[in-house]
Amino acid sequence: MLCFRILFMEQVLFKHNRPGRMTTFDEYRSEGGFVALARALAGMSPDEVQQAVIDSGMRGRGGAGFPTGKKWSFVPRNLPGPRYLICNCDEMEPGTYKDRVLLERNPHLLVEGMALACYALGVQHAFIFIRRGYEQAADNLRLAVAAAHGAGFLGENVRGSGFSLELDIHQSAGRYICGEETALINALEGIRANPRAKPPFPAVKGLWGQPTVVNNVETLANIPSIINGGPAWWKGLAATPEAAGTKLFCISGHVVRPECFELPLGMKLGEIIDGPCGGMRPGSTFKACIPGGASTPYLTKLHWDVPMDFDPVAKAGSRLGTGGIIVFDQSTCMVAATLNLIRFFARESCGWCTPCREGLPFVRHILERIEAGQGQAGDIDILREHVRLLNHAFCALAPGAMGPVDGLLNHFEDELQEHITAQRCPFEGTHS
Amino acid sequence: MNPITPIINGLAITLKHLFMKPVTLQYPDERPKVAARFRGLHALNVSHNKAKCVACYLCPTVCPAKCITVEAGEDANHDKFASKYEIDMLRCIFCGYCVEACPVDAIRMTGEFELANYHREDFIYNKERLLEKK
Amino acid sequence: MVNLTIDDKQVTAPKTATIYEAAKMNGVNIPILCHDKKLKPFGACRMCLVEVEQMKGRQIPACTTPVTEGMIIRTSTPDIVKARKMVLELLLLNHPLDCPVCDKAGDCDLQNLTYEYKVDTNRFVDEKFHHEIDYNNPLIERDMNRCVLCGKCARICDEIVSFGALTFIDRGIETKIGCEFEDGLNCEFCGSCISVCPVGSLLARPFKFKARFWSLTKQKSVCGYCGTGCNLTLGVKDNKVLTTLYDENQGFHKGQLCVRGRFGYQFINSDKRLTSPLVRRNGRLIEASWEEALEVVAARLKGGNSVAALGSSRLTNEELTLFKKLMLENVGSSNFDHSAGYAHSALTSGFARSFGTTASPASILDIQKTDLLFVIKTDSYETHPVIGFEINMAVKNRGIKLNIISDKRGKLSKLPGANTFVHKPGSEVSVLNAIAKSILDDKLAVGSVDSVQGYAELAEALKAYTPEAVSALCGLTAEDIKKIAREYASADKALILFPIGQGYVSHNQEMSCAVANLSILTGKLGKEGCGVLCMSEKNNSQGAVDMGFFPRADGMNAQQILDACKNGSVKTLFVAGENPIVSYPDKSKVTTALEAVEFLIVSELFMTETAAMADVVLPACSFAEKDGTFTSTDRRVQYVSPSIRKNSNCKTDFEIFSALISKLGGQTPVSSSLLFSEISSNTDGYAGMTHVSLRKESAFASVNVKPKLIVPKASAAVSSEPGKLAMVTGSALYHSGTLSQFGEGPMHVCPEAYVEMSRKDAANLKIHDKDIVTVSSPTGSLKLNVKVTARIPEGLVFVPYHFSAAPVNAIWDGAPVTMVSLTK
Repeated sequence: MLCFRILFMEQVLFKHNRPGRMTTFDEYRSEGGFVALARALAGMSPDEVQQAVIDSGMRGRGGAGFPTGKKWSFVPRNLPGPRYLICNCDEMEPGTYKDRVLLERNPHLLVEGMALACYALGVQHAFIFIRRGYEQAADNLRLAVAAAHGAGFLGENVRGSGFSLELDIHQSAGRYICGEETALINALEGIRANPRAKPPFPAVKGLWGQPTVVNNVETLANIPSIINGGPAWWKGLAATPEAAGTKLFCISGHVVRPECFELPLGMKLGEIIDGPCGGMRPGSTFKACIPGGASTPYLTKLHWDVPMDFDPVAKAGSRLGTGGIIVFDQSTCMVAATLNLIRFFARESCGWCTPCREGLPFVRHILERIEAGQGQAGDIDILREHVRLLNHAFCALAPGAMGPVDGLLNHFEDELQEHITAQRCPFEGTHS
Repeated sequence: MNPITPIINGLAITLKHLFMKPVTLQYPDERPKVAARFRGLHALNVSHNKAKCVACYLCPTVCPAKCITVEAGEDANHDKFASKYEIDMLRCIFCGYCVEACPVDAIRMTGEFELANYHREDFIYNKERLLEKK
Repeated sequence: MVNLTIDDKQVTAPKTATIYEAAKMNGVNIPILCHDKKLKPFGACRMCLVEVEQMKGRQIPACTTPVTEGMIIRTSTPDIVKARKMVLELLLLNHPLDCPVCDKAGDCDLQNLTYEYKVDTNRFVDEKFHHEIDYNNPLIERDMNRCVLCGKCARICDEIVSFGALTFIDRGIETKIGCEFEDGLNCEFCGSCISVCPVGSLLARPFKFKARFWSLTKQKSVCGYCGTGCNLTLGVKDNKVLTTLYDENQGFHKGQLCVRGRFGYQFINSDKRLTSPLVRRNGRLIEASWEEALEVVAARLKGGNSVAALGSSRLTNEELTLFKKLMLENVGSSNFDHSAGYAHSALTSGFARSFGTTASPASILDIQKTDLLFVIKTDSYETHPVIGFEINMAVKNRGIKLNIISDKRGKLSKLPGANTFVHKPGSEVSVLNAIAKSILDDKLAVGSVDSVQGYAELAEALKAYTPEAVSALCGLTAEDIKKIAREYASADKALILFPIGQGYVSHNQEMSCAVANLSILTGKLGKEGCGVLCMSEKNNSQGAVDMGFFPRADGMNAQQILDACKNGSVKTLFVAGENPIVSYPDKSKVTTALEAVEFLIVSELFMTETAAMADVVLPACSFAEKDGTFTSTDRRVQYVSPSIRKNSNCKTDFEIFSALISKLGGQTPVSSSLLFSEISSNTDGYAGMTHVSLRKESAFASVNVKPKLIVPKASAAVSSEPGKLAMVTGSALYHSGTLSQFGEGPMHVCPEAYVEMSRKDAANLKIHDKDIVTVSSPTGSLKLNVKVTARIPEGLVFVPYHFSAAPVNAIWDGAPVTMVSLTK
């Protein structure tokens, strides 16, 4: 039954994928690519495009899950001066690699999606902010943009509609903080990538002080199918009535097939692991997983039947995030796993605000000492205090960084306690 | 009461004391033993062949008699040291606040109490004189 | 206004206020490390967290959150106190606990908060930093180990000073404030970063280890250098001025100072100060008593018209008035002048004709209220750095347009959107006339302008100044000139700024009339954000003009006085506070004149070159030792009280002039405040001011403008000579007049004169940066260090005028442009 559903599941993002190589522009066109754009330009007003996105119930795929249509609607309509769209492809969260797969396979989808978004928002100059490490993806994107230019889907007066669009690819120097939209805008402006104070939100005052929308790659890549199939159809692709559309889940860890799959939103965690992932590796039993990239608290066996959609996962005390699932088996020391993540976040803190800059290295310090068998009695309380304090940081990096620690304290406090009382890591020597 | 008895009592006490150990000292032939916490002449503590004092100005600030004069200098390593440290013993009331205030344990009070001098200027103890009292 | 509740107190605050500002306005103090009144909100330290009931009790930063109607705010719940304590604990994790040797102790925000929140033990331990301390410059010490990364230094350097010497580098826990390529600090050394540092990371080296903060007496004063009129707080201990302190509530500039204001105070307590009157006997200056010296002086002053006086515009209004009184009533001579006789002519002759008043019809406050700033000479930043900061803020924060015409580029040219039109030196008046012509031609003038007196004559005279004709000689294109005219005329509000001073000969009465014409033609006068601001050179230049300390019709001006000294018609010359040998043009002329004059009296702080030639030298007092009033360039009258007691053997100029008046049989004023009442009733715009009222708050003297169009005469163009370069003089950034030579700060940064030239000329002449060259002109030659910079156009060299050791007046005779040749 499960396999049946997966086999006949409709895919919109991976539909055009070719095994082992990038889909060419002509292949994409011949399979219905850029039809949505042509249709929108010919017969839909920008407001209608935006309304379709609002109706589809699409929520941002970058991690926060903010309704995309709503974000767009914050852009003041009748303001003079330019406005911008930025595609956030600074995918640096450990455990997340969906955008890379998408861009390496089919960058045309993003180009078309951005063109549609720009049309809806009245943007004439859009940017793709891509991290330095994604060389292949950037190359593919360049090809895709050039091809779209050649076919007249970008540039001056697209298809005689009067709509013009320039698309620039910016390969950033790369930092995790650039994934935060205001820090990304700063980086694009050429200044230090620090987050900006909100309000004003980018939708009102963003890039060079102009209204700016920052969307994730996957979010934008979904827009052509919303226009093509209609919002109702697209919404129906999900597994539950509350969810909307499909989602790229990129799985890593102790499963048989750690890959990136396009699956209906709202599929249960257990279904994903047992289904497309082929279950746990032989000899492994499920202990916990990170549901959506390194900044989300752990889910455990208790959550096996949680539908992987924004609200249900939030209800379970975690976040769907980017859909980057990291699965841990019984041999994993959760303290070590958390420490590994905290090391990343402590390094990637931009150094702007006190709690994040000083707090994260300190949390790392404490976890290190617990893992090394030198934990002290008060350490768990100090960690708990930091989870609270780091919520008061300037941006979402520090609260996100404390996600795994929060999960550790909620679900694996006994494991932590064991480290401290035994003055050693109980998993010593068993790490796989 | 009969007037003779008190006199006899008094003489008895006198007589008793004649054979007891005297409470006074034959100063200066005999020297008193000062208590450990006696507050006498100040001394500047030394560490690594240098005065510990970092010229933080807390002692002149706290001094109720305003008898301490400090001037800070910058040495070759850009560190702070007291280029001048003077205590005017004519004004000092030996309250010991300077010792209490010192954040680096640079000043202490010795048991020395014989501070008489012939000249007024001799009562002003400069850094060298304070350091001598090791 | 919005209504809100802070800690159960009903308060109101402006709509634009943040929670922090609203609380502060209403007397609720929220602890913070990264906030400064002048800077944009930052929100990094997370100390100012407050709870807002509407946000479900979430803790949000007060410094970045704007107030909204009905907000219910709590600033110190147990939860908040706990969070703040933890922030402090985290900060102290890496902060060295070296308060005993840190100069900031006592004035340190981190220390105060640690004390307030009783963070006496730290549950956390971590290693301290071992960043190298920057001792590369003599003024600012940077110790990044103590840094709490509030970013105020980097922000003030960017937002206000617009230099950008400091920035965040690295990330995470390794983040620190650094300079480019992690090098030492190399900047303007205004010290703004020191003033805002909440901890001891940035310290003033001249003050290092001199005293603890709590032992300083804070004395309010007014800066004694340029005409901006910045307010100072002097840190005084044992009758010595040890430092300047920051007070963000002081003055229009909110405590912001430049390098000389902040680091140039050392002349006050210099051991080079004169301490005794000197009388020349047998060719040598010998110490004498005041009685003796004043007796000699009084005897020589009884000479009527054969006596002349040169005053300094650093004297107070009261002193200048008394000096003038002494000369007019007791000596009987009207030969007195100041500032070389020409440095004030833009006001005394130019504005007097154009505006019917000798003051600028605009104030510094107008800079933030205008739409377009039209600056003549990029040197405006060098002469008046704090006005320069105002321009920076206007352009960067408010997006005010900036057009500059100048003979060289400068720091102002680098501001975003600034247009610098570089013209040939000495052609200012022609350019301004061409702009006026263009305004008339393009019908950009206000309709009623033809009814202004002098319109017909001006329109006629301007016929010779078509943009095309002028473009040939000034080096700007006709289109440039038209563009300047168009933008100036079409702006709603526009303000013109130009500096005057002994280094700016071409900024004379003709130029100020030409500038005035522009504002009259376009009606940009008498409105907020409009007008012309003539930036006077010294702290009381405007006051000297207001007091009428310049020659009347029957008196000689400074240049005529020097001529008269030479030909013997002036026999006694009284110089108070000026050093003509260094600061007046044509050194040999000045020297000959001073040698020729029979009797020279000098009242001075230092044994200057001029004092060394005197027959009597009287030791005077600096601004920090006397009381009186100074009038800033925009006619803000400010009272200064003595910050320190004067040396018992020095006298203020007020006392010297009083003593002389009484020796000459005159009536001396009882006190300077009584004299000031007399001044305020006699001086235009000063009515109602008294020392008592000014002590509380400074006041603007009103300016009453009667516009009139005057035909400005352009000086003849300087013909270029093959192989020679055009030399102009002016101010170096760190200096003001010749006084700043006695301030350690300015002298540390810019110790000697230099010749600044373009890269192209340097390449042509095979001269390199830091070479020593001989600069020769028809009047003499001078050895100078070379600075090759990008800002100087080809064919021009710039030599600052402040330095006695290499005085530019040895090669400069007072012409706006001097042709010089450079040889190695």
